[in-house]
Amino acid sequence: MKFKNKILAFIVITALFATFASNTYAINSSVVSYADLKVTGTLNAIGESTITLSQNLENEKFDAISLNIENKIVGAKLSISGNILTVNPTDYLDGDATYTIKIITKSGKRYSFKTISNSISDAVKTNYPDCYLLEVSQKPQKGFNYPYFLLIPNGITNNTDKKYMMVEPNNSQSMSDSLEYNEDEAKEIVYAHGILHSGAGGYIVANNLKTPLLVPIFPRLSTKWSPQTEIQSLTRASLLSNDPGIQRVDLQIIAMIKDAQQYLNTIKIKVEDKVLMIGFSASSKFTQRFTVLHPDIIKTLCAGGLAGTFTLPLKSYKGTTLNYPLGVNDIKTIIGANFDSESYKKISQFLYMGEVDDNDGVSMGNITPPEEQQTVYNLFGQRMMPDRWNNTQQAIRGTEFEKAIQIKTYSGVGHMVTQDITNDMTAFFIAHMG
Amino acid sequence: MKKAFKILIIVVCFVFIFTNLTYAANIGNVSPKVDKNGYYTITTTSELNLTGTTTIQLTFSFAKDIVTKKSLEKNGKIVSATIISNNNVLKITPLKKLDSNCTYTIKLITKSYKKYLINIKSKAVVNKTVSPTATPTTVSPTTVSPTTDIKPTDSTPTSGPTSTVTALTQDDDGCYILSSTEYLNTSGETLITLPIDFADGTIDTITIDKDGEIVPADMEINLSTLKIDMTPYRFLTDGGKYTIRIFTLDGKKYKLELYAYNVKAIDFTKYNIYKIAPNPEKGFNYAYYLYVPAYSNDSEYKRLVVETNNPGIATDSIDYFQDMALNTISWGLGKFAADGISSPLLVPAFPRPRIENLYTHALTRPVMDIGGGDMKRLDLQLIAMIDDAQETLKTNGLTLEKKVFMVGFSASACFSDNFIALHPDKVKAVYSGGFDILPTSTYEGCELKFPFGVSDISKYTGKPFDVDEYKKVAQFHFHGDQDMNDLNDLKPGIDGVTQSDCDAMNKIFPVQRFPDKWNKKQEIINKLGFGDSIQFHTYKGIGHAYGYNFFSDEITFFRANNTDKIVKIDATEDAN
Repeated sequence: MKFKNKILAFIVITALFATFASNTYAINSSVVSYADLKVTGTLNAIGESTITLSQNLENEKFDAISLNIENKIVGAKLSISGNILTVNPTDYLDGDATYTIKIITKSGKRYSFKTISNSISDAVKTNYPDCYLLEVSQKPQKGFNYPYFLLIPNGITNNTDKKYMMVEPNNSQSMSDSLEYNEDEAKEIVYAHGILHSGAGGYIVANNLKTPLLVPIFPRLSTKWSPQTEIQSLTRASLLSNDPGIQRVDLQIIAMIKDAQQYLNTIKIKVEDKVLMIGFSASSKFTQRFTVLHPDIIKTLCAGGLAGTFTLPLKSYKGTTLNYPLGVNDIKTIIGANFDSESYKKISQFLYMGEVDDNDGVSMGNITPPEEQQTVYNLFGQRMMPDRWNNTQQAIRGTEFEKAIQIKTYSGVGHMVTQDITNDMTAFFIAHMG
Repeated sequence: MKKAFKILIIVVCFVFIFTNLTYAANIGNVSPKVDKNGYYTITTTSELNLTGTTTIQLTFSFAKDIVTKKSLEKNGKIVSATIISNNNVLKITPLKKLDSNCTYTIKLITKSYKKYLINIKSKAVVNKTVSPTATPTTVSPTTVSPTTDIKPTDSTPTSGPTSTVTALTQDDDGCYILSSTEYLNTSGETLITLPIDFADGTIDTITIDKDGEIVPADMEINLSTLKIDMTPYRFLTDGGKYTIRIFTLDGKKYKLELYAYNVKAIDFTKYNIYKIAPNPEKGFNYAYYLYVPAYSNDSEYKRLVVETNNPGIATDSIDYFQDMALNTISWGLGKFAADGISSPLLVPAFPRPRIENLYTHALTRPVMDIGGGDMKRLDLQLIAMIDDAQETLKTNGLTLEKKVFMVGFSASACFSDNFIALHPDKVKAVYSGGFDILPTSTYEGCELKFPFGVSDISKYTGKPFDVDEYKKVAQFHFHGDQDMNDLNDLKPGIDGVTQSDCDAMNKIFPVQRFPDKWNKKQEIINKLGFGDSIQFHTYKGIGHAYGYNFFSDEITFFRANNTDKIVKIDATEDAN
């Protein structure tokens, strides 16, 4: 061989050797490699998922099949039969989140695939001929930590009038940390039983209006029972709570609203940005208080069973400062922004009480702390009906806010939503749709 | 052309050689090979300052292969410190003052998963004071656990992470075997300290199985802490053996076998509430709570108090009843009784689904007639829970009497009273708000079927009503003088009530309301010859609610009726 060529060959060999040598150092600490598995089917955030794998792993024995998100393993029953992978998570998965499924066989082969969870479940099968019910799982990255129900009445697309989605906050009769319980109660509200249970009749009115109804599944926690956990009433303490799950449910419900509106858009149901709100008892507190916190997103409100009083759009009354939730003096402390009275005035409000309603939320210590109780008693009266109710109305008489607020007392009616009331609410929403 | 091509090849080769060998050259004082755990060792002559920042100049630069995970350790334990790496400079700032003259280890993992380890000594203190790491002469060898093996006089640097790693054995599958003396809780969260650390970014995945079947559980590992979250409402089996398998990104497998327990060791110096998982094999399909007051192992009264749950609403959620049972065990009638006699308390989490006329919490006829499924024979399930609780307590050093004390109010009074008619041999005494089941098969010519009487009780017990045993149960039944919530507002079809039940009740109790019905019941009991064992009491000034004086009366009653002798107490007149 010519000398020049020998040099050339030597250089090439050295180069190859150097590359090989440096890579050898890397091998000792290299990461195991996963074969990327092609799949069809989706991972549902709620309920069971069936995913078809591109490979039949029937004859394999498995060391591990796991559901992972970031560095956490998510509790689920996973099994493979042939090329079908079945996944049954213990709890709802986060919706629209990226999960990784890993499969490690005993023979050392590793397979994985990433998938984005499908947040929408129509597994909430209803036999109701007049509507379609969905459940949407939580999306913490989008701002809500709990799932929600979305009810879509049939025939909705036939009606081309301007549509506003309706929102009825959930109201659990009792308390439990479990999602299962609060969901069970929310389901009673969202379809059929609204009136007879603790609901506000949203199911009926939304069907009358042929508009979608959103019912969040906020928990009413039992193990940490305190005013802080009464998020279903949007108490002051609950909005100031540091508990990561239930923090700022006002923002969480707004995130749910936006999420639902986006979804409705994809299925060609056009709804306006603003929403209709409906509430009774605890949810009357939620909705009514919500109007002073975020008046810009509410078009119309119907709320009843209010314990004979309601949040006043005033900073003070008769020399007494009214902080949230009695008034708006310190709204900034709660939401970081001042009270938007201009937007508030644009909301049409229908507030009602049953003449013989005796369910006095103000007297319930967990929902109304002593200081608030005292202020309400002093300013408006300890006797709920008719004193407190009449005196509270007096506070807005003659103010700029009076015009948009309609008050009604139903004679002979106790703490319940009657058919008259749902008819009146339907009419009120329609009258103020413009 | 040929010449140009040759030059090109040479240049390319030189580039290859240069970059690769430069890389090799850049490694400098780094060991050429990794140790058993995949670490390159970096040697340095720098010393760590005990406080403040220490800057270490490396003889190479990480450059683009930036450090993503870093930690400072001593003897395998993490020491809190901020570590900043930038090219060839490392800055270490410990949160607390370091021990002087000790060997610390800095561990680094880069973006490409290269692992580096630096053993570095902390500065020696100038004034010689007795260092806490000097050989303690009083430490006995048995108190030193293997994972925190301290060799006080040995300051030779360790070459890897915890020295115990080299002691791990492997099974036939090549799985490294980890061991722990800890156990899993049957519900909720468990934190297990692993015998080795798993650095960030080294875990591939984790599984947990029992007998080869995957058990769904949320899991996460942070260094040496494994967190397993069953959620409060899903359960592992008490006494079950579970295998946790850890898979790391370097291809290794680890396994850890742990047992799950409801209750492992009761600390009798504390007040403890235990959640006991359902155990169908032992005869109960629902969870129950067990409250063990402090020093109950020293109590004069060694008898289990039982109060069945009655939250007052029906829901299809099973989880709900667990939360409400926790509420009940935390502040109900039973809790006060348990504290008053310093004895454990059991509260089951029986369900009450949204099914009409299935008032499970009142142990009605339709409930007793459930032929299959999880809700079959709640009375027998309660007995199974009682047996289980007594067995658990016995294992933990507290042996209780066989018969229990029962407490009830409203629906749970129906439950306790019906239970006593069915199983009189299980109960020593009962304090209950209400009284319905009459211990007779007929009265005034009317047949009284369960739960109005005991004519057909053998269909549940397999034997006739045991009058003798029933007479041994000390019974205290009370009623508020303003309580108008009479559960026997009878209508056929409601809760399994038949027309003949209604006819019988209307005949025997012409006036269905308090106080007439209450007084008639007392009359009947006396006439039937049960007057010695059953005390009736009316509390003044209370409706269908608890009065403050109930709590002291129940304690007095139970204390007086802990033996075979039946004692009637001088109960308080006023409820409050």
